[in-house]
Amino acid sequence: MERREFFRRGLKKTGETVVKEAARKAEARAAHWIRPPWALDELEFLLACTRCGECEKACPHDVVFGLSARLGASVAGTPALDLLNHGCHLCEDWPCVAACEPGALALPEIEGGRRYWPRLALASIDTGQCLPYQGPECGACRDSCPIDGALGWEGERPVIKAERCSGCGLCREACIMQPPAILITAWKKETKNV
Amino acid sequence: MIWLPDWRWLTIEQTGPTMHPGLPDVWVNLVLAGMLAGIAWVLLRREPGVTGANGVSLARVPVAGGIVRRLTASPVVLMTMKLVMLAFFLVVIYAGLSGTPIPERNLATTLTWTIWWAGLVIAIFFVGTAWCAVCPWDTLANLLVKGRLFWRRQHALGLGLKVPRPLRSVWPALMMFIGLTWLELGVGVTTNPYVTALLALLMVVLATLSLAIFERKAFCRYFCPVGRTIGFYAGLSPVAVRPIDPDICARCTTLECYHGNDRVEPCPTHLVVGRLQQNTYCTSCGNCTQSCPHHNVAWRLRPVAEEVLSDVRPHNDEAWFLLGLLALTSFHGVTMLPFWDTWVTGVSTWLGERSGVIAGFSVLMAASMLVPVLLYLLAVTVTRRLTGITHGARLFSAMALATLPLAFCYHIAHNINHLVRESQGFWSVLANPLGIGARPLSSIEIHIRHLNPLIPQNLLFALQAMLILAGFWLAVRVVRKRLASLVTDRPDGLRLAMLPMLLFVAVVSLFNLWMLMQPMVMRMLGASCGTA
Repeated sequence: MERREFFRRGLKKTGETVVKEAARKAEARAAHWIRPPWALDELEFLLACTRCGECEKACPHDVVFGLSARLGASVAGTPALDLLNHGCHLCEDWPCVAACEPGALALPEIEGGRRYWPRLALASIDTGQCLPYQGPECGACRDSCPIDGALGWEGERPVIKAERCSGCGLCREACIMQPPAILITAWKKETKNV
Repeated sequence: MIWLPDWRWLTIEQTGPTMHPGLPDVWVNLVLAGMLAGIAWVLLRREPGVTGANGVSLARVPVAGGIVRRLTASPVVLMTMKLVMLAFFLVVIYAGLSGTPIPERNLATTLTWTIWWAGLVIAIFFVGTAWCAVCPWDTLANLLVKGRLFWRRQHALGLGLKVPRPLRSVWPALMMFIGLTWLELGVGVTTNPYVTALLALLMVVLATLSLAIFERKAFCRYFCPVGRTIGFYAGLSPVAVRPIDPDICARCTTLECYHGNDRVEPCPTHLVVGRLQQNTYCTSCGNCTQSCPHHNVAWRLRPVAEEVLSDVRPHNDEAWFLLGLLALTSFHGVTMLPFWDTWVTGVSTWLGERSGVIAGFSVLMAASMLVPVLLYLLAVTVTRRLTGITHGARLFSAMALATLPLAFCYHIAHNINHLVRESQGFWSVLANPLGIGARPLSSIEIHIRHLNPLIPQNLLFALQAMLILAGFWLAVRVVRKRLASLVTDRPDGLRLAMLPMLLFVAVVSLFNLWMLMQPMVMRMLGASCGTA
């Protein structure tokens, strides 16, 4: 191998490793918040997002908010979903995505007219808090789920099917218990070594 | 029916189901009444208060005395504590470097920021500068450079150079503290376990380098932001390392406390116990308790804030450190206010920043730290005009002491809130320090943290209100005492002379009170992952 070739390859390899590591770190940190629907992978998202706040304004349900400066200057002001206080309505025409000019939120190519759902968060039922699991009838969340088959029923008891659920939090918003019996957790993409 | 004013119009409107309230009106009214009483007392009282040396050495207290004497006689307990803290520190480093990046699930972030950094400030009141004695940064530096945990090495290792004159002040520590706050709130170190561990390692490197290069412990004396903050705050603590019998020190000519002996290191910060009047530079290291041939050094219990009220005068650099503490503590509060984030992004956009908001943050941080400093300078200038005091520098440094109780009490009030809400779940982090397989906080965990604090919410409010009042009260007393000793020639003019500083103290206290009154909306992932 020539010397020039050696350095060229070495530099390329180093560059690739650095970028990969940066992406992994960004992705791992991003487990801490929930991005709006159809957000790019975290590192690409951070590079694309201009913090213009248009998605926040476009959201008709007040779910999108800017991350706090306390989380660090690199993510401050970038949008996230406040699923603790509101549910994402998975709007028909995705106004937040449409408002994103730099393309940090971007709809994937949709094949064959089938509607896809973004994976936002994990939802699960706190059976110690959910009324039908304790005895009384409830059904407050019955018609809240926008996705076919994500919220099922075993008799009077609601059951969340993880593989169908997008984690939008609408069932949590419908829950009449205080605190709500549906738990929302940020969705952690499985990454190596973390 | 008594009419009580309604202060809710002063709170910034926020909505959201997951919200914890700020200080309620009943406590606000009590603080306001207490402040009015304090001002009335200080203006109406005839002669300035006399403060002599009060207090009692713990070595002379009947039951506790025996324990204290035993503790000071041997460093075994101290060394054990050092090793325990070192073990925690090493786990923090390991967890930070290789554990989960979710801050609430990693021991590095929870132990460092939620427990240690928030709890430390509260602990200063009860144990003075004791943290410095068990500080793992120094323990590691000592082990690396001297290979010793405590005892003196016969042949000194390290260059033992004198610290260059320009660095011999607390300015380096103040700059480090401002830098630390910038990292904490701007770069978001508190929410990043990996960077938290790197920062901790950086401190060890700095401590080790200065131990290897400079004589004694230059890092502790001049550079350490944590140590100097502890030192100044400990001026208000009722606990201090002091002679048991001052007369023995007065007759002492050998000064083992300063020079050390063949087994014990000299005082790391160049102090002589017999002349020790402030806690500022004492690190409670225990060298003097070991080296004193008369066994004349022990913990002393004294009235709160005695040292700030006595005649010790801070130097110019120390006065600036005090102002820095005030500015940094209120800045911490400001970053929790709901409009802070909007301001940061606004300024950042205005500056034309493309990625990140760090320039916008830095500009706003500088601006909001400047406000209390400028107010203070204004108050001092007006005081000088009113009194015709010629030595302005002395007035400037003496009055700066009044900001110490304001900063300390607000700092504790702020930290208690973090501690009782965010330290929940710490045991599960301790059981799984790396956070292996842990998921981010679920909605219910955030809910519990913020709406069910560890102590009843009303107790929390009562403590916060009492702290603001105590800070104000101590500050007023410092203003009176210090000014009285400066305008001795015209005692009747004292009341008028106090007005500008009293106004300054009141404005700062009211601002701190207002910050505590603000409700806080919790977002998914929690709006307040940082602490302190």
